[in-house]
Amino acid sequence: MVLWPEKMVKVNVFAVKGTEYALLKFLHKEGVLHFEKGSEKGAFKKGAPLPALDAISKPLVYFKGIMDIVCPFCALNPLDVHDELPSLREVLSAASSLEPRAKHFEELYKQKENLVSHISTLTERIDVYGKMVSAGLSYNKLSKSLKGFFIDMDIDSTLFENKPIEKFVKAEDGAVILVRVENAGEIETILRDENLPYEALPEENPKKLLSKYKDELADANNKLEKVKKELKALCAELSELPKVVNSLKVYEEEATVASNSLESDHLILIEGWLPKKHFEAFKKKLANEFGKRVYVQPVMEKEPEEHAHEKSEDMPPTYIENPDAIKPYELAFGFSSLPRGDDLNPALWYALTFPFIYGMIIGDVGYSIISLIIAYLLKKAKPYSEAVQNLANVWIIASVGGIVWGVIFDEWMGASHAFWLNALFGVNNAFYHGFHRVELFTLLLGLTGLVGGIHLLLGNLLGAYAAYVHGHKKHMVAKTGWFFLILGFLMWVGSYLNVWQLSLPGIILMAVSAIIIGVYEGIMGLVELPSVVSNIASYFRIAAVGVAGVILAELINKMLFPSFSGGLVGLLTGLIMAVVFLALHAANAFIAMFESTVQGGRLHILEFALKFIRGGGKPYRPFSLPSFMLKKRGEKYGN
Amino acid sequence: MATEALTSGLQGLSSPGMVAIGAALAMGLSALAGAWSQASVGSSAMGLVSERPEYVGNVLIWMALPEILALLGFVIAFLLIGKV
Repeated sequence: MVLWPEKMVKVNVFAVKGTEYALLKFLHKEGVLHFEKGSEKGAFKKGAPLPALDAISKPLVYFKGIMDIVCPFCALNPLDVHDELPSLREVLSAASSLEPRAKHFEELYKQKENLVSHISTLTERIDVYGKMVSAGLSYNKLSKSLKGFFIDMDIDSTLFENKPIEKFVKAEDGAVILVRVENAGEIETILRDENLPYEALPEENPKKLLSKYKDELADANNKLEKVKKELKALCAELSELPKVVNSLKVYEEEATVASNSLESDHLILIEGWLPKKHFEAFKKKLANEFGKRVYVQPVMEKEPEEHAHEKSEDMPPTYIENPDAIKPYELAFGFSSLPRGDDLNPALWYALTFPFIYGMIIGDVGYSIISLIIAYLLKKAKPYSEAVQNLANVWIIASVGGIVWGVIFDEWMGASHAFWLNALFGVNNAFYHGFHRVELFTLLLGLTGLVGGIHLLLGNLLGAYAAYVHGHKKHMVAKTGWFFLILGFLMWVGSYLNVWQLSLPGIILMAVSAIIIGVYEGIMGLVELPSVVSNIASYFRIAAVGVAGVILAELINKMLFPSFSGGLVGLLTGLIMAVVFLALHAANAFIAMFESTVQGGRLHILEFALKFIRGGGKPYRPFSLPSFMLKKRGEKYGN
Repeated sequence: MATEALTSGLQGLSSPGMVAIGAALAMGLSALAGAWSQASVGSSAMGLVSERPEYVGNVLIWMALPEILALLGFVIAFLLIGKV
C-alpha cells in the first residue's frame, strides 16, 4: 500500500538455550527481522555476545588492516562475492593458514615502503649534488677559511650585491656562494629571510658523494624489484583473503547481535520488528526449521497514535515500498527527517504535486527540455550515487510539468513561440497568446498564492485524515479547523481582490475555525494563526524565482541573439555569438533547475509535509547478510 | 499652507524617481538581509557538515530559508517598478 508505510508488527522470538547460534544464523539469512535492543524484564536478563566472538574478532581486526594493503597491491576485489558462506570452522581454519603468509606479506611490504622512501631521498640527493658538481668548482681545493652554500633555485647574483661574499657561481638550476666563515651567519640570515631553498655545502666532496649515492640508488632499485617480485608471488597465496574477511564479518555480526537479545536460565528472547505481511511466512519458516525449540509471537498491535509518546523501542521502524515512479521522491527524506512508521507516505504526495510546482517555477519549454537532457545524462552517468540518480529521475518527471507550464506561459527559451517562428522561419504568425509572467506579474502572484492555499489545504486535509485513521479526534478537529481557516482566508482575499464575492462567508469561516483551533490547540494554536498568511506568502517564491529566470532569459535574447549578416566576418561573429547564446541559456536553465528544486523542495518539506507527518522515524534495517553476499536479492519474502 | 506643502511632498513621493529608489531599496536591503542571514546559517552549516557529512541534505534546506527575504524584496521591487 503506497498511502502508508508498511504495517509493522513487533515480535518476540523465544528459543531454547543452545539453539541461539543456529537461530541467529537463520535470521541473518532470512534478512527480515529488525532487531530491537530489549530491556530486561522478569527472569530475562541482558544477553551476551556469542562465545565465538573472541575467536572471530582477533583475526578479523588483523585481516581488515592487512586488506587495505593487500587488495590494492594484488588487485583483489575487497567485496569478493561468495557462492555459499563457508562454515565458521572452515573460515577460522582458512584464517589461521593465511596468517603467516599475511605476516610475511606485511614484512615485505614494510621493506618495500622503506626502500621506496630511501630511493626517493637518494634521488633527491643525487639531483642536488649533481647541481653542485655542475657549478664546476674544485671543492677539494677550497680554503678552510671559506664556507659554502648551495641555493637550489635559478637565481642571479643581484641579491648579494654589496654583501660580504667571496664568490657567486651559477650552477644548473641553482647557484653556489662562498663566504668567509666569519660572514656565514649574516649570509645565512639573508637566505632564510628571503625564503630561499638552500643548504650548506657538505664537508665531503660533492662529486664523491654523487658517485656514492648513485651506487646506493642502483642497489636500492635492485632490492626493490626483488621485494616486489616476492610480494607478487605472495599475492597468489592471499587470493582467498577477501572471502575470509567478508565471511568473518558475517560471523562477527551474528555473534555481536546476540547481545541485543535477552536470556533466562533456559530461554533466549529476541525482540524485533518485521512487516506484518511477512509474519505468517516467517512463523512457518521458523517452525519448519526449529520445530518446537523456537516460538514466535506478536507483541502488540496497538493503534499507532497510542504509542506516539512511548519509548523509541515501541515505535515501529519505517519501511516504505514505493513503486519506481514514486521512489525517487524518497530523496526528500534525506533533506528532512524520516517519516514515522505510522505517518502517511509523503513521497506519494510529493510525486503528485512537486512536478506541478517545479514546472510552474521553470515555466519554459526550452529550459525544461534542457533540464530533461541534463537529467538524462546524469542518470546515465553511473558512477554517481543513488541520491544523484534519484534527483535525475525527479528532474526527468518534473520537466514534463515545466513543458506544460512553458506552453501556458508561452515561453520558449525566454521568448514567445511567435518570436522563434519569425526568427527561424520568417513566419509572422502566432497560434495563441500565452500568460506572460512579467507583464501579468500581479496576476501571477495571485495565482501562486492560490496554488499555495490549495497545497496547504491538501496538507491539512491529509493531516486530518491521518489523525482520523489514528483515532485521534482532537488532532483531527484541529487540523480540520486549520483547513477551514485557510479556506476562509482564500475566500476573503479573493473577495478583496474582486475575484469572487465571498467576503462574509470567508470571515465567518475564519472566525469559527479560529475558535475551534483555540479550543483544541489552546493558546499556542491561536498564536500560530497568522502563520496562514506567511505560509501562503511563502508560495510567492514561485512567482519571484520564475520571473527572475524569465528576465535573465529575455536579457540573453535581447543582447546576444546571433545575427549572421555581413559576409564572412559576420558569419564568424554570428557563430561565436550563437555558441555564447546557447551556453548562457544552458547555464540559466541549470540555475533554474537548481532553484526550482531547492525552492519547490522547501515548499513541500516545510510548508506542506509538516501538516501531516511528524517525522523522527527510524529506518527499517533488518538483520541481514550484506547485499553483495545475497544471491537472490530482490526476491519477495516468503516465496 | 501646511496642507498644500504636505500634499505636494506626498505627490513628490510618487514620482517615478522616488518609486525607482523605493524599488532599489526594497531589492537591495532585502538581498542584504538575506545574505546576512544566509552567512550565519551557512557558516554554522559548514561547521556541522565538516563534522557530520550525512547532514548535508538537511542543511541545504535551512540554507535556502533566508532566500525568501530577497525573493519577497524582489516581488515588492517588481510591483513598484510596474508603477514607474
